[in-house]
This record gives sequence, C-alpha cells and structure tokens, in this order.
Amino acid sequence: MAIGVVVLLGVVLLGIAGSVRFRRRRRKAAPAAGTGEEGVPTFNVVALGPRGSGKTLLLASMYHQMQTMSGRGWFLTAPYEQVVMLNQWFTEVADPERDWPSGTAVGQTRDFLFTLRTRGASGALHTVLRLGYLEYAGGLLTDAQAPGSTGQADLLARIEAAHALVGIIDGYRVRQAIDGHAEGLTRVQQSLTAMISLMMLVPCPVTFVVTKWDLLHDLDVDEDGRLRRVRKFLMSNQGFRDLVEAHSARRVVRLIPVSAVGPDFAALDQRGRVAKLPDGQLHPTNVDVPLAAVVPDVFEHVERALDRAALQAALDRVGRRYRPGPGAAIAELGLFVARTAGKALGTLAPHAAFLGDAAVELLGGHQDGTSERRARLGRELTEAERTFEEFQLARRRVLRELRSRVDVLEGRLPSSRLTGED
Amino acid sequence: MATPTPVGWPFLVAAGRRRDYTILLAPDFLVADLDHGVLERVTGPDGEDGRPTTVDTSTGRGRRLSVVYATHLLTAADLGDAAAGGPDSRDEHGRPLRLIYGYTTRDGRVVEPARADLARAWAEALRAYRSFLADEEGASVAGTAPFRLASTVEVPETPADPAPAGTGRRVGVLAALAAAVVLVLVAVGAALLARGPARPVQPPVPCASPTSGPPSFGTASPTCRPTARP
Repeated sequence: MAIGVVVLLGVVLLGIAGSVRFRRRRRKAAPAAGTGEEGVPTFNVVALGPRGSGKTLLLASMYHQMQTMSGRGWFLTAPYEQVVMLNQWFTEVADPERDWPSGTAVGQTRDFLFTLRTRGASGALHTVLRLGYLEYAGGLLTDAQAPGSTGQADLLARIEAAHALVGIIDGYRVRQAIDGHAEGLTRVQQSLTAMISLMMLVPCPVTFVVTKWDLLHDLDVDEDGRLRRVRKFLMSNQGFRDLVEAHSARRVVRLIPVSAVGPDFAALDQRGRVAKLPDGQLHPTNVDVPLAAVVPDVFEHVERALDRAALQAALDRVGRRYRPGPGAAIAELGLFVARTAGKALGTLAPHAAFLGDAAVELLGGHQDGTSERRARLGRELTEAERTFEEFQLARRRVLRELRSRVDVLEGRLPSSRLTGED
Repeated sequence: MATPTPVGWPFLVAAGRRRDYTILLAPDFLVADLDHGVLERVTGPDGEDGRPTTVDTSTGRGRRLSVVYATHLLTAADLGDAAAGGPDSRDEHGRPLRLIYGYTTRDGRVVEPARADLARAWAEALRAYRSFLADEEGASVAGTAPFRLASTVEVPETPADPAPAGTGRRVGVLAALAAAVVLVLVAVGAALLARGPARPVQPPVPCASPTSGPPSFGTASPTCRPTARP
C-alpha cells in the first residue's frame, strides 16, 4: 500500500513539473508567434540629436519618400498606427498654412519598425530586412532628468544595443554659428559634446547627418563646396575630430547633408527662426541615405572584424560549391560570418542566410550575384527552391541598391567621407 | 463612517522656448520623495486641445496614482499680451508650445474627470508656466497642495495594492505543491502504520559476573551486555 501511495505521489509531482514547463514553453513561444517572418533581421538604429535638431521631421519625410518604390527596387512598410502618425506629421510639415509639428515629449518615446520589402521576378513580395528607429525627446540627451524618471536610462540602454548610430547635427545651429551668432556656436558645441560621450566607445558604425541643409544653400555655389565648409567647421571642434579619428580607423565615417523639406520651402524670418514660405514646394533631399547606409556600414564594420583571407576562402567556396539546396552554401557563409564576427553583429548573428547573402553582395568584391544561379543551369529546381532562389536574388539586389545609393552620394559629394586627416 | 472626499494635486509638464519638456508642477508628497518622474512618462501631448485622458499608473516607489491630463496649445493671450510684438508663444525653432496639465489622486481610480478639476489645475499650471518662461534655466519643479476633487473617483474596497499580475497562476502552482507535500506526509504516515506497532525494546541484561561461574570466553549470552570489571 505504501508503494502504491509513493507511486501516486510521483505521478502527481511529475504532472506538476510538466505543467510548469509547458506553461513556460508556451510563454516563451508566444512572442515568437507574434513577430512575423522568420529569418528576417532587424537593424536597430538610434539617431542622436538634441531638441529641435530635426529627428522627427527627418523620420516623417524619410518614410513618406520610401513608402513607395519611386524608382527604387524596394519600399518601406510600417504598422498601420505608425503609418497614421507618420502621415499626420508629414501633413503638418507639408502644409504651408500650418505650424511645424510640436516637439516630442518624453511620454511620446516610441519604436518605429520599418519593413523593407521588394518584389521578386514573379511579382511576389519579399521581406528583406527590418529597421527599428527610436523616436524620443531630444532633452533626454542633454537635460538633467526628473527623479524617478526612467527615460534617460532606457535611451542609454537602447544606444548601447544599437546596430548603428546616427549623429544629428542641426543645420540651423551650424548656420547660426557660421554667421557668427554665439548661440549657434554654443548649441553646436553642446550637441557635439553629447554625441562624443555616447559615440566614442561604441563598437557599431556611426554616421553624421546635417539636417535643414536647405538653410545652408548660400554657403557656396557648389554643394560639395558647402559640405566641405561645414565639415571644416565641425572638424575644428577637437572632440568631434577625435571622435571621427577614432571611428574612421575602423570604417568609413560619413557626413550626410539632408533636408526634410528641400529648397524653396522654408527660410529664416526676421527673428532668425525657420518659417515656412507661403508658396513653398516640398522636395526632400537625401532623406533616404542615412538608413540606406546602415546595412552597408554594419557589414563594413563586420568585414573589419573578419580575417580577410578566411573570408575570401569562404566566399570562394560559395562560388565553387554545388550543393543540393540553393541556400546551403550561402547559409554556411553566413554561419562563418556570424561565428567570426558575432560580437560585431549582436542580435543579427542568428540570421545566417541573410548574413551570407549580404556578405556576397557587400563584401564579395566583384563576385557576380548570379553566378550561383548559373551554376544550377540544367538542374531541375523544386517549387520551394525556385521560390527561395527568387527571394535570395531579390534580397541581394536590394543590398546592392542600398550600397549603390551610398556610393552615388559619395561620388557626388566626396566631402561626405570624413577621415581623421581632415 | 463617511467616505472621505478624494483629493487631487495639480501637475504640469511643459517645454519652454529653449528648454525641452520638463515637470514644472508635481504633488508635494511626490516631490518630497523624489518620486515624480512618472508624470512625464505617462503623459503626452494630445492633438485635441482640452480633451481629458485618464491613466492609472504606479510611481517608481510603488505608489498607485490615477492621472488625468489634457493638452493646451499656448497662445499669446495666455501670456497676457495678444498684440503684435508681444510675448512669443512659439519656441526658438518656431514650433508651437504645448502644455500638458492636469491632476493626480492616490485615493482611487478616476472614472469620470470633472471639468472643474481640470480648470483648477489649468489655472495653477498657467501661473507656473509664466514664471517658467521668465527664467527657464533657473526653473525647477514646485510641489503642489491638494484640493478636493469633483471628479468621480472609484475608491478601492481595501487600501492594499492589488496582487501583481501572474499571482493567480503562482498560487495555483503553490497549492499543487502544498498538496504534494501533504501527500508525502500521508504516505510516510501510512507506511509507518502499515509496519504495525513497534515491539517494546527490552532493557539489556548484564552478562554473568566472573564470580558466578567458570568464565566462558567468546560465548556471551546474545542479550547480555558486558559490564566493566570491578
């Protein structure tokens, strides 16, 4: 009888343990069920800029421009409630009769999640990657916080975990400084100081963006000349110079001029503030470049972490290998990249297939993206293999385009490349 | 005993012409405890001027608050001079200034905010904001005194905070474990009972003394216990 009781007891305990484990597994599984397509990496970007520097307008203008293909091979989508918000902001900006949007409050901190999509040869839609962009009140970077407030600490944690940082330099303040206003000089100094302290030790790529570029249109007749002048002004700040020097030793550091509204939309009024022109026309410039640069910059960063000979050997294996599955060699390459540059990739490391494709396109030099496809001529592909191959080709095309967008900007504006010797 | 009338404290979160959003007014008890940071986290500008929003939240130190707030787009008239060239109602970037004002109570959940309460909070907020604009860099948070609320507040039956989320499941697991422990005790008890009553232990019998007979080495009685030699 005692044995029977003990057996019953054992069954009860096992049942409890199994129930607890089942609940834990179900809790763990629940988030994965809500995250969408598997194998799609999310690149988290944080733009560092003080109050009024143009972070929100840049975001709204960027999304407005990239929500349709407009001559590109890709476009962005976002969750509907975010689309509504972004469109509201853009409408406020675009209407010359309305005020600029108000500044962002601490309670309005939010994560925007953009999905970069493309169409394959068959017309099917493919998701290539996601971009997380944090929108927050600029004062969190520069002002002392109220006791009990967690906003600043949360922001710092996000900065630490970011895959790329974008330093926002307010073109309005640069204009003021170049015109000799002490206020402008003070504000530029303040924002550079905040950036320097946050960016100096981060391992991820950093890019600098000069917003409100339209306000600097008369600095020089040539745009690269204007950028050169702004670059010289910024590099005269010793802290900024040191920051650029530290990062440019490891990767390209860019200075990208952007305008969320373009020329002929706004100007400085008699009070020296930015005011909309009554008949202004909206033509944003270069607003897509900061995000386009993220993926190529992350991979350039990854490349420096890899042994070049080992990477080339892995790339050669992809070129030569003829494997039963279309993605096997690419996934192997991706695993190699993740293994050797795991720390540089952070949360991107598990996405082997994406890493492999990106490595071929962004690190493979003159590797022909279609060579793998040619190698399969004469071999029958299953439906699943064809679909996957179409997806791979589409993804690589997008990655090439992102790289190309940055290259075009550099070709047009050589001064956009910052080095420590400036 | 009559239920005490709920009280609330005005608060204000606003940006200045140069300074970003900051808490300018907060309940005196929160300010004294450095526990007012929650007010800027749970509030945000609303597109519609004056529309109240209610949020139930907890401070960093675990105080439960019900917060009612509304947004007001600052006008030149608010600053006392609507004439051209008067005080500017925009920030240094030409953007409109919005004030987030309202009241908070710790007496329960606000289920129906009263306009009179918001109006009272607004009057205090505007006074504070005008002072803030006069000296933004030197401004700091000011503690507010409570006032009786006209809002409908749902007072909880017990003052204790409700159990945190997930407690129900944890109680279920604990109950199951407790039942298992009881079963163990029952099983042990049953096992002991099944063995039957214990035989009484007989006291040891001393072995025969050396003087009582010839010694017999190695053949002591099984129940005897050798005793020390005298």
